[in-house]
Amino acid sequence: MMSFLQPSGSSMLLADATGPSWALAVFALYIIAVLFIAWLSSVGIRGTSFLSEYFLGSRALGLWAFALTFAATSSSGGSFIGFPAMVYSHGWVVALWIGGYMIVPIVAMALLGKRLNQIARLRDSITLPDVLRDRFNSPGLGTLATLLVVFFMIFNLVAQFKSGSMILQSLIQDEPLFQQLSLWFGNHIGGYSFLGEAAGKPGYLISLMVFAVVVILYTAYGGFRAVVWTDVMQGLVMLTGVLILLPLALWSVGGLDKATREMAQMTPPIHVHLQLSVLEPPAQVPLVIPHNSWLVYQVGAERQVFRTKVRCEIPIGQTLARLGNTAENAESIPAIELTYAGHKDRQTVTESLQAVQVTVLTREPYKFGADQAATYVFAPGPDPNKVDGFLPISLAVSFFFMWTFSTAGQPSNMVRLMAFSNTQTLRRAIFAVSIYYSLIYFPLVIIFCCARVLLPGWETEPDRIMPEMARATSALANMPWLAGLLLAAPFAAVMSTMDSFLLMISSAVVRDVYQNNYNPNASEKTIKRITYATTLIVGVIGMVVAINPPTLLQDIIIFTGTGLSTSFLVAMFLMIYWPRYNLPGAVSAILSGFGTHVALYAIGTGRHPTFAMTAYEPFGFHPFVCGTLVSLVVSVCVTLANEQPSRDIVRRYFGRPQQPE
Amino acid sequence: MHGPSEPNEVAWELDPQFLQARREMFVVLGMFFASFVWTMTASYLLGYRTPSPEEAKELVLIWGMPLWVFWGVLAPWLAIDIAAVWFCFFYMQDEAPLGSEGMTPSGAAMPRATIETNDGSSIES
Repeated sequence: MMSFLQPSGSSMLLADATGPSWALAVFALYIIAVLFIAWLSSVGIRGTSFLSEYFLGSRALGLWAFALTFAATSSSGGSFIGFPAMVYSHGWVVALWIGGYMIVPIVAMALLGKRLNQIARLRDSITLPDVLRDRFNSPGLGTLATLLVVFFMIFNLVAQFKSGSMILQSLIQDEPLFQQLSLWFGNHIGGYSFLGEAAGKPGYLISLMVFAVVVILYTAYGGFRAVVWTDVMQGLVMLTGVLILLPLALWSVGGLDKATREMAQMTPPIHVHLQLSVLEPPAQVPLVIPHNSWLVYQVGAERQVFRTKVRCEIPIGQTLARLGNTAENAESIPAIELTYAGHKDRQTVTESLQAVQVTVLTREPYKFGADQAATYVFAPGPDPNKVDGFLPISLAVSFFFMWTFSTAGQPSNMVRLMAFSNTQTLRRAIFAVSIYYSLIYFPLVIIFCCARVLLPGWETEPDRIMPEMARATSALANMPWLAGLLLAAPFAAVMSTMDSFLLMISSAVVRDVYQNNYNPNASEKTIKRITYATTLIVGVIGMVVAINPPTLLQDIIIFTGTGLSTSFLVAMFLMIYWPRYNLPGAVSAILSGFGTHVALYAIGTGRHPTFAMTAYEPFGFHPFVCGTLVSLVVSVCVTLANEQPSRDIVRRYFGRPQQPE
Repeated sequence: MHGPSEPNEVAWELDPQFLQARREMFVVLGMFFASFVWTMTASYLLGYRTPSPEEAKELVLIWGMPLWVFWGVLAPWLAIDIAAVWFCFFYMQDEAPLGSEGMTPSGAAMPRATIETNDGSSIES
């Protein structure tokens, strides 16, 4: 199937020659660089203790490696796809939504960092369950932690595989080479029933295979060091992308002052359903109306501008546009209608569609913001579905807490805290990551506020705003090669998150299940083989599940990410700072945090059966906030109700080190 | 399990490195609450309102961004970056990692006599 998607928007901005072929070239270069880095790091594996090297880089991370792997792992595909879409759709208020990131580096790295690193070294712990097991002398606790990590991480791995493939696909879908390959591939896989629905999406399958094979290969081959060094490159790609895009965006709109003033005049679009028709039925070929087509009408003094959200076509011999042959209400085409005069006046109709007539069937204005002045500039921001706006203040409070403490509680981040070489590295890295986040997140808000002014009508498909903005601005600047570079940023973000998840799962299986419970005396050679095999197998399983992924992936990412933090943050925090903390306290912290989190999701999902994975939010606070509070209170009470931990353990972890007697 | 008053208990005290790390932890939490209170108060007071249509035409902007975004988000953000300089380069201390030389790291160099007798009540502290 050929894609008829024209780079639309103001066609003046988006000449045809921009972007795509550069995107493919940059992508190829990028893959080569990643594999090369993995090969380089595998050279380092020889010699040192294999497991410590493979899963923790021999605890030798220097400043740049540590800082950038930390920063890159925390910013996933969402930072470059979902987040820009959010800024574009809701305006300046998203600066407050992401505001917690101002303090994330300090809390996530300095709250636990120094002590966790010390404690991990003390008993040569390599994984998070390792640390817990050694601290409380309890293999059972280690197993519990392993189960939780594997449980949440498997979900997340599948989700990241999917979002990576979708990003790759959206970046190269306009590329003729890719389209031919999809066509050929689609013809060959039709007969394989195990592919299920995926057989109808050859483009997604190809993207998934390319993406997954690369990530699995370099992660399995190079271990932690490869993951870290590719993270460094990916982190630099992201930063470069943002720092190039920022001046381009500002220059394209004529300065931020001008952009904000224009945003203040904007009103949100209206979601509509249209009936599209022609007077003369098409005779030879159906008239295809691609998604994101513009329809412009002059009704008296009033100008009406619509943009379609989905592809539809008017069949031969008929006059009404249809979505597909089987769909219900197939003649009701979802679209948006622009309401801001500044955008309406400069929009032109998509050329092939001048004869199409329109009837508006339903109109759904935004539930919040439709009649507020300067709604894109003030809080809580316009929202199509929520009556109290995009970000009521209680939600802003929740997010501020959530970004900081859920980042601090991520096992993948804690593992990095176990890997830096000395505290000097930690101190410098905290500062470096603070600057890094300041240079990524706030500029992204500015860039996509500019995008809102520059490129109207992407409410139809907000996730495409990042690639579209990259193309539009590099075309304006007459530097089409730049689009390719800019598009590598979101891709880098997903890869750097995925590889560390993959390694987390594999380390949990090899170290915590195989070595500690099954065969403690396994030889280095056996361990090595099992490690490579496990990483490969876990990766392949993730890839196979991602062929037909569950639909609510974004929800799952949030559920698993905050779930892990809710389960582990309190236990880890008290474990390293409270000498009186004991095993029942740690177990109850993990179980009550996990339990509260899952229970709130279960209640929420039960209440709104139509929106699966909705959390119940007492007083408007996110399950992470509630779960962490419950975990803290329960854990402290249980600890005090049980006897003191053994003197030996307390002395080993908290006592002043002494000469052996 | 040893009781705190067992007679043959070896004298020991809390590791100063641990105490320093714990002080730093409290400073981190303090910085979090300061940034949290600043961001939420300023944003709520300046940003959570609907301006009149006249005001919307003549908005007060700082560096091209709405007043509330500047004072509620960017200003605390920059302040935290400056505080990070203080915290990372002037406050937080480098310490020899525990166990880096087996079980006898930096503290081993201390003369034995400086270790005060302590029956373990500090555990609860």
